[in-house]
Amino acid sequence: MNPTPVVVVAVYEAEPIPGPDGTVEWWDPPISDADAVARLQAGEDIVVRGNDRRANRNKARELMVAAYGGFEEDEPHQGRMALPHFHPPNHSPDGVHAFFDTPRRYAKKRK
Amino acid sequence: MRYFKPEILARYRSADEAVSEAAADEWEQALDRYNAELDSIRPDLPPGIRALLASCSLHDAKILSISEARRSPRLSMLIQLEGRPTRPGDLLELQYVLARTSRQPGLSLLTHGELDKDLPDKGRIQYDEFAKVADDPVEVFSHSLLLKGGLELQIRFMDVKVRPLQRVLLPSSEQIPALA
Repeated sequence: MNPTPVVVVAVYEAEPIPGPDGTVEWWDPPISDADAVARLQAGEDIVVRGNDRRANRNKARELMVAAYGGFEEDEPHQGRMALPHFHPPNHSPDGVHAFFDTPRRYAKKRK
Repeated sequence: MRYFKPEILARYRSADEAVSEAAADEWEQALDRYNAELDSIRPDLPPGIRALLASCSLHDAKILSISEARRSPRLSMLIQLEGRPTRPGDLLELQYVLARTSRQPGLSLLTHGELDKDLPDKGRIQYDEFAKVADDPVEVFSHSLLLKGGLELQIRFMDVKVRPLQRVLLPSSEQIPALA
């Protein structure tokens, strides 16, 4: 019997790089849920990374709801590195994202 | 929209995770097909569009205004790119030379589902697509923009100029308090 894979999810501070590709950069260390919510409320971005898309998506949504009481969900745009993400309701404030990694699309670690 | 269809987006946003994940796979395939088509037509696109595609994405940008000339086939669209809470997004003006005929208007408006007239953020661009729609006797292109709330703009054009703008002063804004 195959063991159940362990689902690992971690949240990081993130920043989208300007340009058409939609690249999102993240950096260590991982942050707590409380810090992630505070970061979103401060108008900054986060990314949820892990080996399970469903878990990443659920965590990103949970954090946006905790920060703003709701969410709007977007699929990635045509940029080759663009990630799916959540916004606050009505995009207010503008430019705040909870991104999440998928098997095909992932944020890039800042050097 | 030929690739980034509202119905896929609706299924992607489903609370049913199996439905959402299937839609996510469909969306990825649509992205691959669109990017392949875009790569094939990129050399033919007007320089303004090639420069736009090389510099930014219109995803989550806001359309501030659309002006269509009465006699000449010109359409001007004012767009503000997505910004940050601490920094408004850059402003662009797209000036299209429309490809209008007796059968095909330069600008078409389509609706997907029932539009919510009270929806805030109506001018928000969700996704957009470029395509080449004709070759002969002249090259004609299309720019389709899916807006939040289900409105789709389809612009048929032969050329487009893209200009960054320093600022836009609207009469209702705090920048011109005397006119507010």
